[in-house]
Amino acid sequence: MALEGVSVLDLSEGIAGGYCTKVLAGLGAEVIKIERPGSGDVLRHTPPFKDDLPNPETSALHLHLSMGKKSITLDVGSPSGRSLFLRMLEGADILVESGGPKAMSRAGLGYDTLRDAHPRLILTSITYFGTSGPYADYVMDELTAYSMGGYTYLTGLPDREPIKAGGSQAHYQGGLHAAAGTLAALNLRDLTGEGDHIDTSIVEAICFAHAAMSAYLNTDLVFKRVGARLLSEAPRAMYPSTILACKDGFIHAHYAPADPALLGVLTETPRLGDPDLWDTPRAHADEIDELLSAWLAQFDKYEAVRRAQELRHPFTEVLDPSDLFEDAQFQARGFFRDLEHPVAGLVPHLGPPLQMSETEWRVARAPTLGEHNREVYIEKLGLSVDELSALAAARVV
Amino acid sequence: MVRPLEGIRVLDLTIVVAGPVGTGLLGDLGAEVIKVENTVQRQIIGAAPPRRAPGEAPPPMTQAQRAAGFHDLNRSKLGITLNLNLPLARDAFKKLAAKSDVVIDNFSPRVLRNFGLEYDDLVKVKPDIIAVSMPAFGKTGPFRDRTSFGPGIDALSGLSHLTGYPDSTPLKPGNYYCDYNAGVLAATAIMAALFRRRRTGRGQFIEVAMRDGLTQLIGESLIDYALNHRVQQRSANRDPYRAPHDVYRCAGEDSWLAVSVWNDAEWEALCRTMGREDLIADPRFSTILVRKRNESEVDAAVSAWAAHQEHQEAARKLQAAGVRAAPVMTTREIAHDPQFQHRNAFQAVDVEGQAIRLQRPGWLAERANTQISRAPKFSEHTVAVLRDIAGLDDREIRELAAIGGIVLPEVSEVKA
Repeated sequence: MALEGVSVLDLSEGIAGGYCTKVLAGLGAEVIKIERPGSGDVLRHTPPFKDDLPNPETSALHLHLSMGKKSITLDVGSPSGRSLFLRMLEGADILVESGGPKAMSRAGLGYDTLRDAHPRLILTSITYFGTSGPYADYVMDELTAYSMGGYTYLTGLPDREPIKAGGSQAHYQGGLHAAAGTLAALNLRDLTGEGDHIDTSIVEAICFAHAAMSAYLNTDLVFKRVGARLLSEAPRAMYPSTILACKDGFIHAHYAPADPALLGVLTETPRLGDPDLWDTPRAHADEIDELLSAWLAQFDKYEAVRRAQELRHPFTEVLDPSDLFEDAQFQARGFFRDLEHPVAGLVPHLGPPLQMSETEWRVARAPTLGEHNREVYIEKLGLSVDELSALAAARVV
Repeated sequence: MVRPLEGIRVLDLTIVVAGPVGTGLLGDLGAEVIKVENTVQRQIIGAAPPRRAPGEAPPPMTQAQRAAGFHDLNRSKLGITLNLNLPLARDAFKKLAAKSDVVIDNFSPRVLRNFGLEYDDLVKVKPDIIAVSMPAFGKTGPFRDRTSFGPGIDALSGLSHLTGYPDSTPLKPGNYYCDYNAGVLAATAIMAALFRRRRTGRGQFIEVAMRDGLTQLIGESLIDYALNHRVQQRSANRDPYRAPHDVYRCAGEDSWLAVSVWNDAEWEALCRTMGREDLIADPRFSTILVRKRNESEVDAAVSAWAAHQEHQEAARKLQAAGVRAAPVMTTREIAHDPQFQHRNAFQAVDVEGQAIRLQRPGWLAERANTQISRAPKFSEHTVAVLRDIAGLDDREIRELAAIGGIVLPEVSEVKA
């Protein structure tokens, strides 16, 4: 595996940290989740759960994001917990945390302190705004972060309220950028021997992902939401790129870059082959939608896309989660993997986000809370069974 | 100061958005990224030429006049041309590959197969090469040769289905979301492969199928289906477990405030800030369960207050009271925002005396920072790269130009 031998201590909670270390675990690092004794990561308590019964082992987020990690319990705030944590730091390459801008320094574990004791350690912090600045202490969540990053204003219909995307995209992007920054630091450490502090902002990460900033910064153009269409409303901007209804659902229609007027051939609609229309396609968006919709009404989504792709029109189906499990491409590639989980049972999990020919992506189930206590405390740190029992009795682990 | 990817050379065949985002990030981190373009200039995203009469040639643009998207997507790269349809140009490409660490493309799989420039071909000239391909769906399977762009993959991954209003069609998340995700993911995987190569001496082939990468980001909805056979639906800004949880119209044009209340203490703080202490004890709103049940009345109360507020000021007041709130920021507001300025989120590069401002990725570091440099002019570095890296002599470069294998930006660079 690509990050074989890289040791990650994961103090993070929630989606952003969870996705960062999921990527690191997938790439082959050994990720040890350090969870609060008794309750564990907040992900474990976030709905939905299997059969809608709250259970720290069966939340969908935990099953998805904790894949391939180990779990130990430790009260890092207690004196003996702290000393165990410091011992574990000795062998760690990366420490990931999401406790808020001041949590680490308040615990006496700020980057400056950590660097002095562990000059090769990479500390990856994930917060909404970074660890400093006027908003550093703001209380935030997905909706507010997505809004602060400018993405809400760009999502939704022009005559209705702006909306967030489905799921927790700001948090996922925060986690992805944290992983990218961590890998940059790991490569740099190979050159310099020195660790680093990757101070990630969830809001900056989601803001990075919409391409609308450079337009404002350099041309004063403020984009706003336009439904499923591309943001530019310049008359000569290309079209269609939008979502339209078909007989049984929806498809995403996209112009053929090599010859957009082929849409007339595809739909047997002469007007859609008219050069005058293709000189200013975006100015004719409503007309194109209407003509294309009339054609789409005849076909179900798979048939409409099949016909379009045959003429090299990059149309795609709009799929929902149930469609994805039936998807021919995913099935041919074995994308979903059935994994047996001791509490959740046999559950199809998502396969890797990418494939590497020499270093396989790790696909393994999420750990139960404290599942690796024995392995880490006894086999790695050399504690005796009695010492571990005593720590458990004191609720340190 | 040493940069994270110092000494790494990337040969970049990527087009449109996803690939260029990934290679731009590698360039920001200090890699030498050589963008290889065809000799016919593509109308790339954000670089549409000005309007012209039929048959009339487009007027030449200065570099600084190019669209912002051009500078953004081509940042931190050198630019060369090579018409890979010609065997001589493919030979030159292989000579460059022999001196490179990474070769990356985002064509559909048949393109490089036809050129004979797939991973298996490249290892013959550079045994430890890291070759990266970013197809929409993967190099295998029934959809492998389909063409598709980012917004279509948003649709195909399930994300569009979950984005929108309960009564609307599925929508897309903002702009090029799938592309940015795939680009940053590819850069991350490349850095992992470089880390590994330093230890084993071995390169490899990496496939970043854009849909596989995007589907991860709604994984919990898929696991919900796997566990419960429930197909989650679009809900605009509503959250099943929180209320209020929406955006509210403020004073000013298209101006909105996002508010999210997680618990009773936050609800109480919101009521006090709104001057509506009367709602605190109101049994219709006293717990999350009843607030959720009476959500339209909750929303009406917040809306009535927000309507007379300036959205940034309202967010500040609520934050001071400990309530999760944020202005729905426009790009103009972000550009002038003190937090983004505090963190130097936007950096200026000099393009012909004009400052072009671009955004760095979402982290600051003690050492592994990003540093943006300007985009190349079309074919700007062709001669220098072919001569100094591929080792072509002036006669070979002239020959390539004569058969249309490259574009010479300034003929005088090659000695007659």
